[in-house]
Amino acid sequence: MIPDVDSRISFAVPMSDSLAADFALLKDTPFYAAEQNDKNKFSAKSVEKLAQYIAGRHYANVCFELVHLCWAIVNTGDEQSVFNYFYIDEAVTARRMQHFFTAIGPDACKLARASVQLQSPASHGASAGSASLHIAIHEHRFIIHSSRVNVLSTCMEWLVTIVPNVFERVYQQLSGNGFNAIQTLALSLQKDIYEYLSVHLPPAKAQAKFHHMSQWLNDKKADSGFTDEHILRYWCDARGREGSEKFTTVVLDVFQYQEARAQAAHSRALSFSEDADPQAIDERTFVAIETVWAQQIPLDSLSESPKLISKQQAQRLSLLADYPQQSWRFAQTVLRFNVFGGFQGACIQARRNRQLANHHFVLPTANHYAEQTQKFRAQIELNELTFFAVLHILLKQDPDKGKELLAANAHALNRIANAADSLPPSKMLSQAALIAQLLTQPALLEKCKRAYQQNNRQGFTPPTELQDHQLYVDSTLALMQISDTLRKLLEKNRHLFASQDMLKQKYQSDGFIFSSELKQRMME
Amino acid sequence: MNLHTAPLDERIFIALQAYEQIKYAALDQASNQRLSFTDIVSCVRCPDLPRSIRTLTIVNQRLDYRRKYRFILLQMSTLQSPQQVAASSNERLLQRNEAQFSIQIIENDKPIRGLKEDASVKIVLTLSESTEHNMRERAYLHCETDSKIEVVECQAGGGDRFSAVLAHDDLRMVALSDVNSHMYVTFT
Repeated sequence: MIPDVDSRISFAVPMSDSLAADFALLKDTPFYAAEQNDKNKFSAKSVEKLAQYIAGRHYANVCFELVHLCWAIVNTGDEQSVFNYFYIDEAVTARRMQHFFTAIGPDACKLARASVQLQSPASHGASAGSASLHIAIHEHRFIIHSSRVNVLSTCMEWLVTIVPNVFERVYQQLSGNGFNAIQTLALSLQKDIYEYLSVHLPPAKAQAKFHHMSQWLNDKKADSGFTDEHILRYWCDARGREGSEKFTTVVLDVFQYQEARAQAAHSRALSFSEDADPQAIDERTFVAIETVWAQQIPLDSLSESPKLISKQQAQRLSLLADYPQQSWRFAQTVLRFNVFGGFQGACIQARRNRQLANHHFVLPTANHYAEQTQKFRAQIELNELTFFAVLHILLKQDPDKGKELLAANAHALNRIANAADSLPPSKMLSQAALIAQLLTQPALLEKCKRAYQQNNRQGFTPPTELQDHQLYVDSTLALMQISDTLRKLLEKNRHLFASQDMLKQKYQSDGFIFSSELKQRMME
Repeated sequence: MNLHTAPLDERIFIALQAYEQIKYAALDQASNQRLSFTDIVSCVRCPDLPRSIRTLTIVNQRLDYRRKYRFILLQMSTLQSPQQVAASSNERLLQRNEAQFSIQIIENDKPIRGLKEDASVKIVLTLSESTEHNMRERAYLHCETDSKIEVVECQAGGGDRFSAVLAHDDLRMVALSDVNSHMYVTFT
């Protein structure tokens, strides 16, 4: 065991209860007066985006944008306009924003040589989401797209919680004033956020953790980073260190470490020089972080309506969904995460209930690694059936969306055709023609129909089918990404997954390590 | 620690760690006493909903929430009756007269049908002149003292009057008849 640099240092990354609670509340805030198709006041995507801005310390742009929106509201209204906009009119969606500024009219701005105008594309059927607010203050121009209003409103809600007197400040600083006032207020809000995060989300522990992992790898002379065995050994070496007790936590830490190293190397490869400008540094950091987040597959939404996977299935897939690029390289870690992460969880729960006993550390005899492998394979098959069921719904209700779903899975058209025992599409045809040909195959249509009839989950029965067809498309695309990740995991690690004996051997040897390690930690 | 001087991989790691924390933040038992600003606005707009009653209980436990509640009242309420400075603090205030409205507290020794208590109190809000508020179904009287906020729902009684009946020992009576209380009226 490598001696710790300082075993007293806790690696429990602190986030204050109030920050945690504020974000939990954001996810579940209803409209006061919900209209058709309104769900929560702040969409999951908006809350996630704000979380990314906060976590990435990249909130300058969103503050600047929000202050512009407030400027437009204040200078076309009165002292209560900002409050009314966000909390009485609740103009926090594209449609409501369009309605609000349409009602105000194009000449409402009270400043000379300034204007606030809502512009929509002239085409028929243009949605509210395509409108934009054009702000002109002397020679300064700024455009806010209506699709941004929800994330800006989410930011406003959070600021109202953490910044005192924000409404009064907004009115006093912006009313009758120009661009300089916008800049000043935006900077001031950034400062407030910086000070708040210094207390509620201090980075020091995360930094210490990063250094410790780097040092540990250095001591192991592991230049290429962590392996499956390194991760297990690192967890064992972290015995007694707060914040690293759970194997699952250590796995997530390591994956984030690996991602951080990979993204930094990629970013350095693209840049010619290291920028010293803080804003440029922020930008590069955030671009790198966004790349990681963009790869994550949104698993939570797949358990809602339309329900594509169960919560239990989601739990099994969480590591793969959050780190699809890392997971397939750490096949044994994925198995350990699911099997022994659960094993440790059960021990922790027993300890909480003051019922922890020796039998909790006895390894179950069933080959749980083989079981996990079987479940992964079954998930791929089930996802395929779900795909066909969704296709059936879309072809029935919105054929264009059905074609869109197939087009988005163009790389898998052959496999889709094979799965439905349909003729494989001809390679000589364009993608649109291939899809059109596929949709004429009776075997495919029959497969879709049967898959739909066998699916009784929320969103797949006539009374529960949703009007929002895009939701079916988006969710199914995410589901197909899960399948692709699972296939890659199984195919790239055939040496492990193809052999029952290998799985059994690995399970037993890992089981010995986990059960003895946990027993030492929790009973002795 | 100055994040700007840390190496890029370290900054990315710190952000990923923070995002993991925020993304999976859940409202646990200890923090479910926390309110969003939207929660408090909804409570002011419609105080008689069960959710609003729970929210008001939490508002009354924290000074910063009461400040927010008061701010929202100031945005939404055009009818206010401030602390009655001319009255003695020992007086039990049974009438307030403002330019646009008056509030009367009528103590009734006779039981009102439907109330179990022997005696009751009638709260009458009378608007001074015809305004848009005459057409409203309900008025809410928000009564703020130093330590808490009480709300009484008054039903439209025809014309310019809204009224409510409270039991004599209703805890809200303390705030309603307190000379130091500040009253706001909102409508729905």
